[in-house]
Amino acid sequence: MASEITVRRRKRRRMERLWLPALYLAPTLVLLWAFDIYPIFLSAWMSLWRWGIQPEEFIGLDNYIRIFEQIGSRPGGAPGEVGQSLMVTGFYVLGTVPATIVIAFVIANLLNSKVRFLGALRTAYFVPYITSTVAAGLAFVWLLNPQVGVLNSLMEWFGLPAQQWLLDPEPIVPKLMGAVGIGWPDGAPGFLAGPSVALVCVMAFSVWNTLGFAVVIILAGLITIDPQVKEAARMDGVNSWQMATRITMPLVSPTLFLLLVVSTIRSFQSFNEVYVLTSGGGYGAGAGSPLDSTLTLPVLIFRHLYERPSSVGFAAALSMLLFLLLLIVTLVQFRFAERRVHYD
Amino acid sequence: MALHTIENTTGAPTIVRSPAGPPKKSARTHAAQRWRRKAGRVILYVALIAGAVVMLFPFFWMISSSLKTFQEVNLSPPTMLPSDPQWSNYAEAWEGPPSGFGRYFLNSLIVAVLGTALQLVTGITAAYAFARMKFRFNNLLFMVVLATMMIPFEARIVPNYVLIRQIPLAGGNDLFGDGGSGLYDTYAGMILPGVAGAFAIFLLRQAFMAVPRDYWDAIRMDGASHWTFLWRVLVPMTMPAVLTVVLFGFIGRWNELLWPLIATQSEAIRPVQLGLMAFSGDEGSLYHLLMAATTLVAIPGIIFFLFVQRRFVEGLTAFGVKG
Repeated sequence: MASEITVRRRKRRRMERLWLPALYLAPTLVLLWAFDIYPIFLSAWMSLWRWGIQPEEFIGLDNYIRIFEQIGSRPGGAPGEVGQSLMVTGFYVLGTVPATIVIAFVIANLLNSKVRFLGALRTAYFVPYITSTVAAGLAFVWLLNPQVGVLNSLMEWFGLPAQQWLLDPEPIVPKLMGAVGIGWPDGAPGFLAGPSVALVCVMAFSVWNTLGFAVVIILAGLITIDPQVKEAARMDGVNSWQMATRITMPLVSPTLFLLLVVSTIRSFQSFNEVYVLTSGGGYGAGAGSPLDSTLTLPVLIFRHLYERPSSVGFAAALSMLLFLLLLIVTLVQFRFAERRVHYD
Repeated sequence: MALHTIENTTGAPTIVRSPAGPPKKSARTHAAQRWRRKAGRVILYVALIAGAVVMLFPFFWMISSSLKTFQEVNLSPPTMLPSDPQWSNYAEAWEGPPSGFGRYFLNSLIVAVLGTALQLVTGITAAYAFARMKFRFNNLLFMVVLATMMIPFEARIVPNYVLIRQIPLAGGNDLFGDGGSGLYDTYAGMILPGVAGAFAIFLLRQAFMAVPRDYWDAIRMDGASHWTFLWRVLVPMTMPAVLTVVLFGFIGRWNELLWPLIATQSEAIRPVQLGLMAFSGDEGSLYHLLMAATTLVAIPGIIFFLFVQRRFVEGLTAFGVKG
């Protein structure tokens, strides 16, 4: 009798070991498999097809060959659609990520020096981040309106010429050089001319929009620094520049690194801000406009998925390219961090 | 020199270990130092407040414009504040889209509430298994879950679009997922792909692991099951983490744009962000109405945030420190 109970209990316990965790994990694992992991394989498979709503024809590596063809130049000397989108994505990532982190680092340091109204100030920096990109983006579209936008009124007030902002496809570097009277050399490669004025506007929006997130994260890292370390450094006559670069920065480097990785991934995936700023507000000519000068890789994927027939396979190939780029960039960041980030 | 003066209780400078210079000179240095510190404080506040003004100006301008007449909003140079606030703009903007904004708000509410609730329940049970149960491959599986955070959204969007169209036995599909449109253009199709959230599981697991084992041993004596322990003891004890997951989930869902755009086509089930985009396409040049609609969409989120901001920032902070 007694042994039978023991056996039953042992059996029950073994069942618990096996089935209970499975039961608790099942919904999550099924969903993660279906919508996050399996899609990578499905995407790879789809990229080998001409695919509309249904698979149409197996075409092997044709989609990838088309990607390569569209990187190279078009007859006029301009890069192809894919090449253009890679260049725009590059400008976008290199322009927004460092700017966001540097500005956020400065603001977080200022906020960390025992200021009054810390809560209110932090909220002010954080509100753009929680506002939806559509609402915040449309508010920006209105500020940047070429005819009656408040930014052009401000430019006039300062005696500067009014700008077309989001409608201006001209690259920024020749434009700035022209403003101070230097001509742009004819043979110079296109990427040196920098992002278009429109793309710079989108990038400025993106920095404004995500700054609060970065500030809060860095602030959290700063608070954990032992105040005695700083006090000791100050006693030794360290000035504030040295304090920031030699003491604070190494101590928060794990936080800064986390932020760098997260922001880079997010920046490579920028779709919403481009979509809203270039096609919202009644005068935009569609996502990626003007003249494809704000065409990030995700916007190009959207274009193939949403606007072009039988292009779903090509969109899948493009998303594999994006995935690969992200993987390489993240790996490089981790390799770099091994040497530079200081963990305790 | 500066390091050698400290302030005593009366406020007069006292010399400590100062090898050179009479007291008079030190007093002057001290005053200069104090003045410099004060100036530094002023510059600090000016910089921080100027920054805050830049951050908030677009919102001020959005609300100010939303209360102007068509003539006033197109004035150049513009007026800072509306000369005669037009509250009726809001009523007009609310009725703007063919079916009104009410329907869009309702859709957003359905998607956000259901999506957040499902994420919370599946996240809590999964986090519990990872934090409290011994089984093979526990760590390995958890690593896999974390790794899914690395998969870019755009890499999933194409296959997800195909997948929800081919869910078997839904939307006229047969057992093999062919023939109909599956979950395309349904609430379920909009909600499902975002339910499993690695970040939510990560946060909850951390919180669950922080609760001492004694609680479990004690309740185990009384013969309670894992299920009772989880929902009656653990969840109430880790409320801050649970609320953080709810807040992040809800705001993320409310602000979603790309997935609903891809996964739906009928305006009747589309969420409010798409409603606002549609409105801006139709009436985008009527900026006073567009800004009224934009304010209507933006303000609920901001008010919600102001009420819960402490929790929200704490949640982010935990993420920042532990990551």
